[in-house]
Amino acid sequence: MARPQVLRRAAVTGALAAVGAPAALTAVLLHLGAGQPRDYVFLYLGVVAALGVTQGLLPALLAAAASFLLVDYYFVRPVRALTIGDAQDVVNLVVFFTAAGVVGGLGSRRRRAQLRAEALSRELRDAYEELARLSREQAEAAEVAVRLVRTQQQVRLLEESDRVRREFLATVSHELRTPLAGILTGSTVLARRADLPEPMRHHARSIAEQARRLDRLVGDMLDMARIEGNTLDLRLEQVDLADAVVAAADRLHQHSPQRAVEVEVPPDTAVMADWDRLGQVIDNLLHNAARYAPDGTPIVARATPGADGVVVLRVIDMGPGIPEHLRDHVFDRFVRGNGEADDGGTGLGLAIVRGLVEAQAGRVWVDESEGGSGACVAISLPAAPAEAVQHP
Amino acid sequence: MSETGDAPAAVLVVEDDRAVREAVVSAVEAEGFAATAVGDGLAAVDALKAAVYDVVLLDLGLPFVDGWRILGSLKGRRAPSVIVISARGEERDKVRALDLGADDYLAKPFGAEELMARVRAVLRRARPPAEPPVVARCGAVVVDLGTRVVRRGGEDVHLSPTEYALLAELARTPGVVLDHRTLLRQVWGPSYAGELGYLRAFVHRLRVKLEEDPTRPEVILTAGRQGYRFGRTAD
Repeated sequence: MARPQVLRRAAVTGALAAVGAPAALTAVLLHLGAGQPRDYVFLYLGVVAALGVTQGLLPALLAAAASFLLVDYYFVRPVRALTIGDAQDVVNLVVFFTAAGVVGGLGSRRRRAQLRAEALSRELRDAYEELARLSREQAEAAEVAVRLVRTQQQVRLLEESDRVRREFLATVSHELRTPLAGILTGSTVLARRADLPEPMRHHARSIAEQARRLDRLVGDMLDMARIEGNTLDLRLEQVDLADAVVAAADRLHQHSPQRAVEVEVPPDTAVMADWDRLGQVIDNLLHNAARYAPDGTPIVARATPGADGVVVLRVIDMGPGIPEHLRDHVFDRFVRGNGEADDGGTGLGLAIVRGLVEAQAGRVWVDESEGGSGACVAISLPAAPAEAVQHP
Repeated sequence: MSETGDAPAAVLVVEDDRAVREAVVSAVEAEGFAATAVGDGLAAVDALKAAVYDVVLLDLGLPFVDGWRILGSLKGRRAPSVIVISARGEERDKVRALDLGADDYLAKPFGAEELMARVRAVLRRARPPAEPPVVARCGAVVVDLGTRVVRRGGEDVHLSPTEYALLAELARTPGVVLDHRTLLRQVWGPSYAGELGYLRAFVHRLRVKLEEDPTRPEVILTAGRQGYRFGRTAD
């Protein structure tokens, strides 16, 4: 309820009580008809004092005035008239009114003090509750701060662990590849020397080939370590898929000049991917297809829009296909088709394909080949938005 | 030691691993070039002060003076062309090296054929065939294809051979979009057709040298996903 309304109601109640209480007392005294009017004064004073305590100063004064008039009218001669015959009664009534005012004022002051005490008590209680709430919030804030510090420590530890892992891989790469560089460059220099007998140059070429193979294995194992350790550095951007496939086909052509690659990628097919890692994925798929497909048969790289905003790229060859029992394992490490062990591969190519594609929010699977022969490996990658890309 | 007339090209090999260094020197000399080899960064700095080389084959992890610092000190100079040879095969190292001014980046291990193909390519870019005296202009930038002089606001701009080769390729057909693969094949060679990182690094380097505001290029413009062009489309 609004405060002005409460005050208004209290004022009305006080006024009614100030008039009603002396009136009720007068009615009772008239009904009883006993005693002397002077004796009644104390009863009226009691009423005024009670009103002062319960209703405040103004109702007490109003009650005193009402009592004065009632006593004068009903009990002071001449009765039933608002006139006073005896001078002593005048003095008595004035004393009564004054005493009633004093008593009412005292009662009223006591009431105000009580009200202030109650208000202070309420404020104290509210303040205590506020203090308790603040304490609770402070405790919660302290708990959050502790959790934040712990989280920050964990993040720092993870960052440090990530940095150490990256440095370790970089060091391993450097330490393994430096001696390989000596072997490969040295052996290829020997293989080019026309003054050496052919058998020696043949051995030099063999050494070089094995060094290259070892380098591929080192590279693939480091890539697997990066994939499994989540330390791949990916720069996702809009990549024109036709550009990426044609570039990979060019690279395959340098390695296998006789192998044709039919690129079937609609113009303006763009995916969100890392250019270099996507190139590595397509390289691995094309090399894998070239390894198993019969000489003279082409490899088809076909892109189609897939459901849910992805682009699907299928690499299809005309080889023997992937045996049924290998289909669920072909993307596992060191799984090879047709039991070939000395085909120059590392056995990690498709495992790396899966790791790199999944790291770029894509998916990889073995698809049904057209006409039931050959292998078809499919990858899906998120399609890039249609607007033109701005290369730096 | 720079090549003049029929003198062989001078190649400085900076490599701390003895076996690799010796193998690289053998490969360079077998090609008919004059090789000088040093095994640490300090010796490389001295060698670069003492003589002029056509090509530097620079390892990155070197004693005394890091290969990165040597690369940085050569930035902006017209010669020598720098091919980084490093066992750090990560893409970010390659991008950083190209941004710092390297002309090429060859990850170890590599064969002698591959190395020498790269050396020949940078030498070819450093000595392009003569062209008709055509001048291409775009704003304050003037490219004189005949004299191979590039000016911006009347002042000479020093470009590395590869930077110039890329700019010249674009400036020969002002306003015409050249796609990434064409640029890579023409400037670097057929085996670089997929090396988009090279193109981006060198376009960035050219913009820093030629543009008023490299972030808002007006000389070398990006044409969507297709490629780049010199100046606005010809009307």
